[in-house]
Amino acid sequence: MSKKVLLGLFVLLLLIVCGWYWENHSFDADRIIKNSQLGNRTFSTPVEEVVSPQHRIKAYLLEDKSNPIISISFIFANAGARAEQKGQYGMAKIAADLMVEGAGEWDSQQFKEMLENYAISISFSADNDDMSGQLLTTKEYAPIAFDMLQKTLLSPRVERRYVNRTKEQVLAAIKHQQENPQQQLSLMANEDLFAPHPYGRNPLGNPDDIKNFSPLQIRTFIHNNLGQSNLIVGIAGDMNAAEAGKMLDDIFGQLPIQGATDNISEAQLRLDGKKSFYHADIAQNIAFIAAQGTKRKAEDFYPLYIANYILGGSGLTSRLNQTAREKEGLTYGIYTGLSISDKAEMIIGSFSTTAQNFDLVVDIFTKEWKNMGINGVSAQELDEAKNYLISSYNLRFADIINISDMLAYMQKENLGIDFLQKRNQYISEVTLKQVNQAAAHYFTLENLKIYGLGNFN
Amino acid sequence: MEKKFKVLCISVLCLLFAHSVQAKLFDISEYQLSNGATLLVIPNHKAPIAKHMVWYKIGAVDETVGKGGSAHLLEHLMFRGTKKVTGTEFNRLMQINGADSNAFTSFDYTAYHQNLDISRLELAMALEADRMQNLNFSDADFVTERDIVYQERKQVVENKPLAVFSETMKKILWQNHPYAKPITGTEEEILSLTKDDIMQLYQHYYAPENAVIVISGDIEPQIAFELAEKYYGKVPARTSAKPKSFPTINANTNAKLRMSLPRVEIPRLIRTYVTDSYNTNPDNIYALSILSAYLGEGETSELYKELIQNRNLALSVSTSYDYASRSYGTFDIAAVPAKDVSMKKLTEKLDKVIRDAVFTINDEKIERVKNKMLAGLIYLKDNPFDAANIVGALYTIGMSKEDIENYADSIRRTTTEQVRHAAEELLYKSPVTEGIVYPIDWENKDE
Repeated sequence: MSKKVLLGLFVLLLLIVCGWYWENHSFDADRIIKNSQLGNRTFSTPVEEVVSPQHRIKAYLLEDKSNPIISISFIFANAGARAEQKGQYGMAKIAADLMVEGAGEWDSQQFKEMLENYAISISFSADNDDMSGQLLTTKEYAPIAFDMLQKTLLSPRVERRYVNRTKEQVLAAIKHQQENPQQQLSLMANEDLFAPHPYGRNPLGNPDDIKNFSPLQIRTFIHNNLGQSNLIVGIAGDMNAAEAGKMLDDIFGQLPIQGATDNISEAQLRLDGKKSFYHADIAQNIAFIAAQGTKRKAEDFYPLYIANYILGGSGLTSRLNQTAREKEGLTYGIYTGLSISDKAEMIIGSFSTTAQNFDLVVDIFTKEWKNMGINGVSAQELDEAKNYLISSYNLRFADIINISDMLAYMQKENLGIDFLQKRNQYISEVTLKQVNQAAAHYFTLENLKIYGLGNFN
Repeated sequence: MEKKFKVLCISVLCLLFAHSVQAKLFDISEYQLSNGATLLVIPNHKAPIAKHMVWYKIGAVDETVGKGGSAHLLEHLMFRGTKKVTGTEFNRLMQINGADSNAFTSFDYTAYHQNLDISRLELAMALEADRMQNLNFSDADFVTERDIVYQERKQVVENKPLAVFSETMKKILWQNHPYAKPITGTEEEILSLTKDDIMQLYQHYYAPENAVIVISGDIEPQIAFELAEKYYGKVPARTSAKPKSFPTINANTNAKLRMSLPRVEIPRLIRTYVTDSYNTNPDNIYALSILSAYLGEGETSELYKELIQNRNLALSVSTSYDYASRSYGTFDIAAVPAKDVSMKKLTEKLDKVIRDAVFTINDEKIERVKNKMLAGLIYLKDNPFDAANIVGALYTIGMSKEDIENYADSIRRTTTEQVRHAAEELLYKSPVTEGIVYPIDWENKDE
């Protein structure tokens, strides 16, 4: 056998061995994505603004005929806990609960029978800022659903027997908050950070106030705060613009013109760079972290959003989880996120760990926080964060209720009717310099407060 | 990783009842791959996204005695690397590709899942197929992950008094049945687990024939099948675990548990009956489902109307029925008394309302309940992620595709007499444990 043949065989063998090694020891994610036959789908999300013909009520609509169902999300801005007068703390939550306890000609049981028979869902909730509602219906029973929602808004029953029961349920819910150490600590922290601003109160209310609410007071609260002037509506599903316009007039057209107004001041976070620890005999210590954040429409919103994502917002791959959980095994999870209310913008965080680990995790948290402020993020981290935020974008369209919620939120925050088209562009345009400037501004030890609940001996 | 215990099953069933149906509930396509793995595809084209899940028929019930928590720890360690995708690279790849990725362990199964853009589905399939056969984590990572699981148990069980109460209830109800033990394992068990314990479980159960792959979203079934063969089909077939046999529960069990726990602020009652599941008596599960809807699901149910609306004796009351188990099913009744109502009074009235409700079952009432159960099934066609969870859980415990799809017909076919008979068997002839948890120093512990 000639040398050339031997050499050829050797090269062939080498190629086979390399191929085997490559097959068994390498994983080329980029190649899989590039060659995927499922890529490059176009997906359009045309949102249109609808104005009702008679009462000029505006809404955003995303028409989607893939399923004969309709979701309507609506917000009464400023009609949450912040609309409560002194002595009325808890009124917004009680009012929201009572909206579905009978309306118009139907008592509570008749109303609920109809909801179940026609597979209609109507719900209300209240947070610190707003009262919100949601309607889900099939196209077939939409006229019934719209009629029911109209009556809940204009003539909720708010009868004494329902009021008494709802009060008891809310008082039990306030006790239930104390069974959960995370909730207990965040209530204590909010009071410390914000009181006497409304954000410092328990959003479920004050038990002494709640006991004294009368049906008339609750009806008055609803009448004074739910109006056309503070109404925001998002519609998704099997409905065209003409149908949506008529629906808006039918449901919301008879509401009082004037609703709750924006009458409270900005909340100033009481941050002192210190730690506040409270004793509780629990199996694991809990931490709650608070810092000043930024407004949703601020120029540094996306840069801060990305810096936070890298620090503690990206689940197990975040810097905090990589260090405290994945490397050290000190906690089940550690997270930070942006919390944006109308009058306060925060970066918040949380973790829990056994008492002997607590100082170690606080130390890791503080070091990573400070490091983010001083050194910022790398170009690779920024690219990877952008990849996540852009590639995960379509997941928000999985659920029709999410979509109508999003349409309402876009209006509340004045994000623009083209937000869904432009959002990925907003992310991709963020520069490394912008992220690091935001990081340097917000991730300082002065802008940080750590609360703890547990055993600190 | 997230862990939903039986909660997933229960929420699955609640969703089925809360919403409801057409002829085919999901339009599932079912395939067997060349190596024995099963593929289920649920097309949903509303957005270019999918949920990808791999369910293994192994849960806490399959653990060796004394090795509690090993199935759950294995679930965690599946994120700690393979020969090709080392360390925590799996998480990084999923993250930078926009996938929301996680896993959970129950008594009966373990599932891994990703919500993702359809353009990243093949990547997730390649990664899951890889860790189906190539798990390879370091000794140091094993110890770290065991510490994480220990912290998880502290956070999700020991810091929550109601979770502690629920664990105690299970011990009494299930006795020597594997459903008696905590899915996380006890603290001592977790700390005594070894790498060998985990690898034995992995090699024994993580085989293609023991896996159900679910893809729900913007994809045609045939393409999903071809891709599944391309990625999962490469995993060599191997013999997996044989079906497990379960101990028989003593039919005469009638236990009462009373606990006072720190940090409990309001008293609660829970009564759990051991009853039929899809695997022990599939013919009875629809009657029990209707019974649960009739008695205590929603705000038009008999218990809600009588105990809350009419008599103001309870702040909340509900029933739930879980048939999606490999062994027995469970039927729960839960209630919180109204202010100044003793548990004695509540339980007496509860029993009376149930007796009356069962006694007055008639065709008209049952038809009304059935109609409510079926009225909103169309909503199940909306969210592809929910559909994957429901179908995956039901199929993995052994339910056939046909039975999942024919839910509405099965409900419609169930007779009033079957519901009444199921009620009598459940309430008067089934093992039961009643638990009441009080705040410390609660004054009205009258019995």
